[in-house]
Amino acid sequence: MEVKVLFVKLNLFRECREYGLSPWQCPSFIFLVLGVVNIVAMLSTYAIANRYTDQPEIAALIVIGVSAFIFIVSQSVTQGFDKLAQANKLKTEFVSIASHQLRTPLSAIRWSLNLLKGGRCSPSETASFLDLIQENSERMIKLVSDLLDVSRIEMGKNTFMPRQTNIYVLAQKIVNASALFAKANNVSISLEAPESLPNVYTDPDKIFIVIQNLIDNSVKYIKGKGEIRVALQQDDGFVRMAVRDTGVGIPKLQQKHIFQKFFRSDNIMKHQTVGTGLGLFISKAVVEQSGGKIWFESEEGKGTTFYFTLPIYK
Amino acid sequence: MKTILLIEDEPTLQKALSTALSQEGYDVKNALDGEIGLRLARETKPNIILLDLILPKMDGFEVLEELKKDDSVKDIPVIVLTNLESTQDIERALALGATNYLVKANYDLKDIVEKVRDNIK
Repeated sequence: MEVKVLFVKLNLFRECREYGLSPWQCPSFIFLVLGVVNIVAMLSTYAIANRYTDQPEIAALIVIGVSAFIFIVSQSVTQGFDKLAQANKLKTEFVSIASHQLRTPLSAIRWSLNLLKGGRCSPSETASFLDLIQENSERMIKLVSDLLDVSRIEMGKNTFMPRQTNIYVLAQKIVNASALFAKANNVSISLEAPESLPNVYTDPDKIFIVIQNLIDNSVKYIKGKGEIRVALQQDDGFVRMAVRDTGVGIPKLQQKHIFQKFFRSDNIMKHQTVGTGLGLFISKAVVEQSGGKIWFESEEGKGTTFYFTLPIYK
Repeated sequence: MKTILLIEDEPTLQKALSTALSQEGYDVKNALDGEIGLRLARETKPNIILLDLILPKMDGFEVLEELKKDDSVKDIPVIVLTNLESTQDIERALALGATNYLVKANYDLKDIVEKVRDNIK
């Protein structure tokens, strides 16, 4: 502990602490160790060689041992550099994608205001540009809060307060609240659950966002008429939720990327749906933090079912 | 009346841009993806093309490349209108023959209209 305090005071290995690398993945720390080992090894080799001048093998063995040690350590230095470089690259990429994503709604707001101020819009155009401004500012608010969630998840700083949770009540609340939005899109939505379902152990506020994300995705990716069936079921020590839709599905080749940050599949881009590409990334993190699993089955053109499990409260 | 082909997949931006350009008296044709954009360019021979870079089906770079390979449309000025602004993207678009490169978020509609007026044939 005291050594750690010393590191902080001297601002040693700042970069490694910032990226959450352990000392053995931190190049500057490993170099320091390497230097100390080298000096000690040289001195002891000298001392030993002096004492046993008639047995040069011993000195040779020590030199070989030290070299092997240095070789192994230098391997881990290289890996440490890779990790740092990767963390840096991810950070840059994140900033560039995030700012690009923010710019689209910003441009939309700016241009709608240009048109409104120009005073050449008909009343119906005026109304529709006001709607655009509202829609795009909401989109920015959602994006910013998603981005904050993502960065908290990545820094390992998102607050997660698991407690006894009645998942049925939670699901019912969301299904009821989504029914109107779904109906407006010609989508029917239902919830099935066995009569008695044990409570689960999770953070209800966080899992609320997960269920909401899955249902919103289903509504968005159903083109024309369709249905969503939400089902709850007990499964060993877990409760499993399934959200089944008759939407556009996820193309086979892109299925492996679906939980990646900012990833959006080709076919939904084609359908002009608005989204940040962060919902599933956040959902996966929340479910895994609860000790559950999330996965899906999907066929393009037929629909998608997302499943996740949460541990039963004991 | 001069025609403008607007290749933009984001509906809100497409709406704002086409309203502004129509108000200036241009005939605006809209394409929501790269493939349709390329086809409309060949069919309608617009006086200028406004091209987004991130597009479904065929991205803006590919569209630009195809346009410049085709003798019937290669002289139509193309203004790239995007929110990508890495030097690499700008250089690539200009090397492929774009007339101008504008970062959407940095301009008001009147500036874009002005660029169109300056470059239209």
